[in-house]
Amino acid sequence: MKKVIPILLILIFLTGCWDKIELEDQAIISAIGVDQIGKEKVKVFLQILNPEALGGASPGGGGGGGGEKKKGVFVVTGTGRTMAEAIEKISTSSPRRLFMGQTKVIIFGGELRKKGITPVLDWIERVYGIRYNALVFTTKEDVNKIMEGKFELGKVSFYTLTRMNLLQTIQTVPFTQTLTKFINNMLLTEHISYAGELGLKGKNLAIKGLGVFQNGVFIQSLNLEQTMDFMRLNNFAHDGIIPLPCPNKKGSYITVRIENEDTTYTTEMKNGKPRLDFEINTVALVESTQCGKRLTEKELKNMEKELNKVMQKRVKSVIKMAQKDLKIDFVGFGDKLKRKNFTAWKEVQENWGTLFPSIESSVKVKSTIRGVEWITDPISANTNEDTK
Amino acid sequence: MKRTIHCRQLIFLLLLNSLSTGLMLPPALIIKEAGPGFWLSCLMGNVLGNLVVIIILLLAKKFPGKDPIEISESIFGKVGRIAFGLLFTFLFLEIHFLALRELGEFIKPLLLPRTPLFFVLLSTILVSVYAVNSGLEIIGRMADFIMPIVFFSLIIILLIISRSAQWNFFTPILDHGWEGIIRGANAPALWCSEIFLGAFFLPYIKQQNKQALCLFTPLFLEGIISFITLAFTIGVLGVEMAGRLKFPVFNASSMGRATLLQQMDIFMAAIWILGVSLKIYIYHYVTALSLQKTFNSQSYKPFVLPLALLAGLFSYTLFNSDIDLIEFFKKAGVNILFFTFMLPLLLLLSSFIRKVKR
Repeated sequence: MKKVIPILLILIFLTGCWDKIELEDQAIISAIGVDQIGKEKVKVFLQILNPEALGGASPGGGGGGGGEKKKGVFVVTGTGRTMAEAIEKISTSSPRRLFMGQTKVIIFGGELRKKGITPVLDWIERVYGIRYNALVFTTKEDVNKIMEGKFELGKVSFYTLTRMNLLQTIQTVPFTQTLTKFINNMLLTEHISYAGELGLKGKNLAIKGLGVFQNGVFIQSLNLEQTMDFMRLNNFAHDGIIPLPCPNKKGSYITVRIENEDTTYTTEMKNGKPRLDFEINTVALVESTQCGKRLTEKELKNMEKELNKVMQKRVKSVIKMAQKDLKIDFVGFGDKLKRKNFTAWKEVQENWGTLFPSIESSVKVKSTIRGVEWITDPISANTNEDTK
Repeated sequence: MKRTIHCRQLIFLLLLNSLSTGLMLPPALIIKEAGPGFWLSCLMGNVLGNLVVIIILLLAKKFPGKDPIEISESIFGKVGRIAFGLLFTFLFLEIHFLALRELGEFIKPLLLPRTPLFFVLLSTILVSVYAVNSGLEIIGRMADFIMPIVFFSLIIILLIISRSAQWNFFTPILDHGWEGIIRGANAPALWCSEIFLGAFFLPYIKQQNKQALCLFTPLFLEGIISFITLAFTIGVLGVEMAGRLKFPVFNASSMGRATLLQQMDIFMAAIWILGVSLKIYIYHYVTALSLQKTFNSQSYKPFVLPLALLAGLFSYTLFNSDIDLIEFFKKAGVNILFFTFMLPLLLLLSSFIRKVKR
């Protein structure tokens, strides 16, 4: 009897999944979009996977045999005073239970980001199921259009975006933000956070650059080049191309591809004012040239000088944008100073907001052009055009 | 029946005991208070744990083969035995029901959101009663069984999340000031001082000459593992974010970016459920044991079921919400340190003063 009782006790715990929910009964949400309607209401867009259409084939790959007829995703919407209310309204019309655990993408719409995303963000990070590695994007386009996604390359927006992030197909912007990084940045010294900016490019979904938020309110969007330079300043850029104008020919360019890049900085206090000196070390390859010159070692050295100049100018223009135009420290000078020289930071912490526009900084670029890919002499170097 | 435990099993037991709860609620408290200086807090806690171990070892050298309650009897007589015994029982009961509630608070919202908390606690208690009734050997063997699972799961999780970690959070160390670091050291001090539990197992170790090794190793390993886990957690989530979450380590474990092996948080859940269950069994066992010693009873078994019900009752009724539990944790630090650090120290000092013959 003594041996039987424990075994019987174990049976209590073997009831199995008595309240299981089958896959067909779950509405698997792959992307959440939010926008503001009027003054008080938010509109929520949920992108729900259609398991019938997705069976067997990858959602982005055309949907297999019957995929053409059936849509890969549905987009359902609901409005409410709070995010939770809007979701609740959606679930009243859904025959399936909403499941947030697979949410890959979160998109904040144009009206909402003007008003501030913080109230919405609280629901997103608190709700059961949403994982903090979901990617955060923002857009000024119609959220519904992006979510419905009738695009040519990559039919479903969440799939396109996650693949872009994973494979880093867009080499200029690998700086997509996860939800945790987004919120964490929001809580750092300057309360600045970033999200990839989505836009439409012809019939396709595209990443247009970076949207910058302060305290959850959208302040500025950067285009791709500015994003690149912003990333360069924060030591995130490790790839991408830079076109350089030819010295002898107007309207022609040499394009170099960044192979490796490392940004370091030093800080220094001068008369109670901090100063930041950046040094960018770049290794690049020549990807194409239209200049019609033989690529000699001397030529490459000249090219390096040109690259230094161009990069320096570009990075400085981003710093100028922060200091002169916006007067907001979105480049993270305060955070950098804090990390490197904490005592100095403590001194200036109080009036950093007023001090920031006048902070001096310098950017030094040291580039090395390491190679020319496969071709040593460009075609134009051997044609008569050049010898004239 | 002679109770024995292998030195390796004791190391695993003590390690799992403090690590399992140490990685649940405390990381958020540490990171919130100490910020980037979290490792200094951990180090401080660990130093305190080492002090506790030194006290225990000195006591064990003076009174070989005796546990703290028997030692208090040899110093203060019968009154001392009952007083100290009841104090220790109270301590163990407190940690017991805290661990129970912590497990409940973890399982309920994250894994079984629609199961009543009562049922979660009850099922844990029933298994605990069975395990403790089976004796020390069974618990030791469980540690042997659980340790590899925990260890390899942790390694897999850390490897997978390492890709999304950023390592720029170590400076400035004094972001929150020394005050913050000391406040942050509260939690690690608490979980490191739980090594005091080892004093009750020392008389039962098979290898009596390896006592020091059995107590210092778990502390050392625990310091390293908790540092690495916390560093990865902050690297993945960011300092500010990690301090705001209830279970930051759990959230960090779900951040893997590998395509094939995604969402490894379930491994973390396994670690915690196994680890905290073991912790509950250990404390349940020690509570019963210390009651037996206090009243010089023949066996600890009559106490097992009532103690389980008591702990279940406390854990279910004492806290209104999860926030209540976290706030209690913040206050409980000093309270528990009094038992695990001051009482053994008192025993040691008085044993010097009273020059007791063993």
